[in-house]
Amino acid sequence: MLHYEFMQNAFLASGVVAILSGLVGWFLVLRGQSFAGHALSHIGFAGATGAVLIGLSPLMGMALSAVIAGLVLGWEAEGDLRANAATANHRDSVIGLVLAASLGLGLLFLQWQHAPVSSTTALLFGNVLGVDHATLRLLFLLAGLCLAGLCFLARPLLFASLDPDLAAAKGVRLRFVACGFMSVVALATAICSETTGILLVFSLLVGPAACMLRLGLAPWAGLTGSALLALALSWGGLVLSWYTDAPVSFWISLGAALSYIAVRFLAPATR
Amino acid sequence: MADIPSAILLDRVTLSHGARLLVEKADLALKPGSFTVLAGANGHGKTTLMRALLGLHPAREGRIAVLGRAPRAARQLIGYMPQERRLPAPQLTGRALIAASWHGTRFGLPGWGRGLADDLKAALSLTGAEALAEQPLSQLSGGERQRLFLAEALLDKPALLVLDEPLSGMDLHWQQKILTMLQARCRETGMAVLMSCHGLDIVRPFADHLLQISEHKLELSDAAL
Repeated sequence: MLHYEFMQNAFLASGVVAILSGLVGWFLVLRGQSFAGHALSHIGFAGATGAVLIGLSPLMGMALSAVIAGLVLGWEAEGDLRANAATANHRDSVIGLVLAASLGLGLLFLQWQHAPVSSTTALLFGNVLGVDHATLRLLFLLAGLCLAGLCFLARPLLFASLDPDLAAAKGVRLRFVACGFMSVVALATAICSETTGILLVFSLLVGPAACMLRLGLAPWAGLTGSALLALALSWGGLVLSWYTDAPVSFWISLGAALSYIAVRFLAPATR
Repeated sequence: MADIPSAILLDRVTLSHGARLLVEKADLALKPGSFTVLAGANGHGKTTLMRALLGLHPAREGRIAVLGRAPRAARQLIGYMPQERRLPAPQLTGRALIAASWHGTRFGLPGWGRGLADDLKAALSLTGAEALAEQPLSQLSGGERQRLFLAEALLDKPALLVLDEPLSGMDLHWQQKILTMLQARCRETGMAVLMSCHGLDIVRPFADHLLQISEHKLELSDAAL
């Protein structure tokens, strides 16, 4: 299996994507922003199809559009409970509308460029077996950027995520942290789409993180566990796909769902 | 000897919430090391006054200084315990929650190591919450959570502690232990405490001053009187 270059690339690409997704996803689920992560991938779809129209690579288009959308979503003031009690409801409505509009826009761009169905399928469901050296280098570069950003933001982000009202009172710059984090999520979503596709980004970004949070693991243990589980799901998906001929994305998404079900029954009922 | 700035200084401060006037042209000076109880009926502005001290609520007019600085500039020196707070991850332990707030405004990786462990241990021991910190927040009673949140407010060794109803949900035994601890911290470390409370009888023996909000005025008196 590892004698083939496309499989070596696939293991490297899915490995870096998995570790990044596990770490970013842990904060995303903790902050209750899974829906925003999902929306960013759909916005990325419009960016990817739009980029092809003007001669750019789909990954670059996806990353750019998602980052811009991430900044807009992060700008939504969070504040403390007393200052902004109703923000979350508005935010979900806005995200839902932008998500649907982005999918529609992506569909329009696809029609304009008369793209074959296979290219749409690759965008929506991923094609990790088709990652070449150039894409791999870009993935490593973007993942490095994401990890650097996450390391810079991690401390105030954790404080603002676990105890937002106290963080606001102590002077954490919530809007700066939120915008920075949503940019990281946007980039991670674009990168993750290369492996799982836009529709299945949830599998790696949310699945492992939700499992670790369900277990109530403290931040360091939760982050490590989330990254390792995402890695196991990705590489496991590749191996199973090799032997069964079923798509990698299918095995990854199935593994994520089964992991959560297992944790659901294993975790202490009182948590 | 250089002048020591007041822990809290209000100079003709007016506070309102929307169209509702809460405090009008109030003057106040509280010294470092003082223990002050803030009292007043519901809706008279106790929480708003505390939020104004943290720079979370702007004064309509007048000047507020905390430890000689503007409120926003003094936030790092203030330990705060809000009356209400969201807890997005109640499945995590109290230790995880408190550790996240340790120098939580700095950029970089989350805190870890001996420094954090020592500060956590010291803060938790002050409120008798060492064992509570190992349990998920969702499994703790209201009074137990209050002891954890108080430990969190004490974690960064603040020069001013602003506590909004810290004794609510706490049994009499722990109310007295917490008040004894706060009084001792004021005397030993020079930390000032401003604490809102409805049950004044239990607090009076421990406090230096009673600050009453009434009819849009602030009235400071000796707590023993």
